[in-house]
Amino acid sequence: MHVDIAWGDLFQVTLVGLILGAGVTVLYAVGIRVLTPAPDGDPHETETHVRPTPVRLAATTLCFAVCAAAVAYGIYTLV
Amino acid sequence: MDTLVIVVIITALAFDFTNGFHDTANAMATSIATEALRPRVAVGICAVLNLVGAFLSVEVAKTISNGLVDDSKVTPAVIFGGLVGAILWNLVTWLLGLPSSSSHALFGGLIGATWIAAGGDAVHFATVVTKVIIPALASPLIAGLVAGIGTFLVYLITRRAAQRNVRSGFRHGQVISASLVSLAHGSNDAQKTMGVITLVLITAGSLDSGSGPPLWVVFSSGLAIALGTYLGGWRIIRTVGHRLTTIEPQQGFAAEASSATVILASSHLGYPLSTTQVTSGAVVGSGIGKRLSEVRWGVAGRIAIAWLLTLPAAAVVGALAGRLAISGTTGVLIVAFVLVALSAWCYALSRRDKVDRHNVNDDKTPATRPSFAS
Repeated sequence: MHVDIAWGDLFQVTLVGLILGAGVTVLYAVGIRVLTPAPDGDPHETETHVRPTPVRLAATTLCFAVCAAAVAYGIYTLV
Repeated sequence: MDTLVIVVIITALAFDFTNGFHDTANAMATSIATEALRPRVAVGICAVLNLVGAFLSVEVAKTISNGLVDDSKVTPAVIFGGLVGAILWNLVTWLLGLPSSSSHALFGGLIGATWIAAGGDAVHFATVVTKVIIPALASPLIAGLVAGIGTFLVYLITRRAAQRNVRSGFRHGQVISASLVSLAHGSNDAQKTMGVITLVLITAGSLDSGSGPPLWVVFSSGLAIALGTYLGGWRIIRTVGHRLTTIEPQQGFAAEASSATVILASSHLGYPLSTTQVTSGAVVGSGIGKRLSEVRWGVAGRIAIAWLLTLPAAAVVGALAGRLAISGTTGVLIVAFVLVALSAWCYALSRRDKVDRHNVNDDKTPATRPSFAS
């Protein structure tokens, strides 16, 4: 029995996973981080209710938009 | 089309239905556990996206109908036996709340039935290893690695921000990431049933060897898996959402983003992966990415044993059922009767310790459960 291990495919799935899967997660985290400024006290105790500045809001929107575009691109490639 | 073919197609759709409720947990367990979505809304979204996902690709269906077994040596009765093995294994693992692989149950059943009926030559073992075994071993590791790296970076990036805000942000993000897993699930798992029905039609002579699934097959498979999904496999949702590791929204998001990409990429390449193993691998990875000790390795070990047993166990049941089914109409009737009787028995047992949308998040002793749930 001759068995081929499709290393190319394994590599491709890993690469797509890292770029799209982990990439989107990181971008989303950056978006959230930009939206919620560091509090004065312990970050585990306080909750921020400050309205974000327009710059922060724009940066977050950009992050989320890139996430959405990455997801759309991923599904588009599949179909 | 003769009666046997119709019976086999109905059995395939029944398998698809068990596949749906067995796997709702993959997409929605973490969102339900973190209360990002209400249980009923979660299963509703999941069902619709499974149906949509079924239409995305036919690569996986072709792998199943044109490669795993020799379609000139297999008959509809053999496939019937294989499906019975798969359904029974799915029901038993659901009763135990184990997120085992519906896909491996299906492959195990088909391989076992084919082997007994037509001999070892009729099973293309090289293709089975390349297309099933190796992806089965690699995919949970890849998903775990991606989810682990994602989780680690998320905590690094957000560690100075107010944690309650971060959790709330990711809880909302999870609605999207969980939806993507549902879509990915439809794209991979609904196709497995399409592949089996296509194989039945080829062996019955209704389709040429090498054909892809006709549209009615795509639609009915998508619908069966969506209905099963909407029913919700609450027992398994409880295991994945609460018992494996304690999940925060940040981890849930990372795990789901990782699973969705790995499954969609594999569907694209025609690999029939176990979506169950991918999502479980991602959940364990997200536990490691935060802190190693938080994974409950005892539960993870039980799940791993169920993974190892799935293929051979379904193969044995599939072989027995296939042997009886090829002996003639009486054999088929006996197998069908046993299947229905055992399914009813599993259902009856499940009613004794019922898990549904009301108590899915109460992972406690029965005494602390709210009284309306029982």
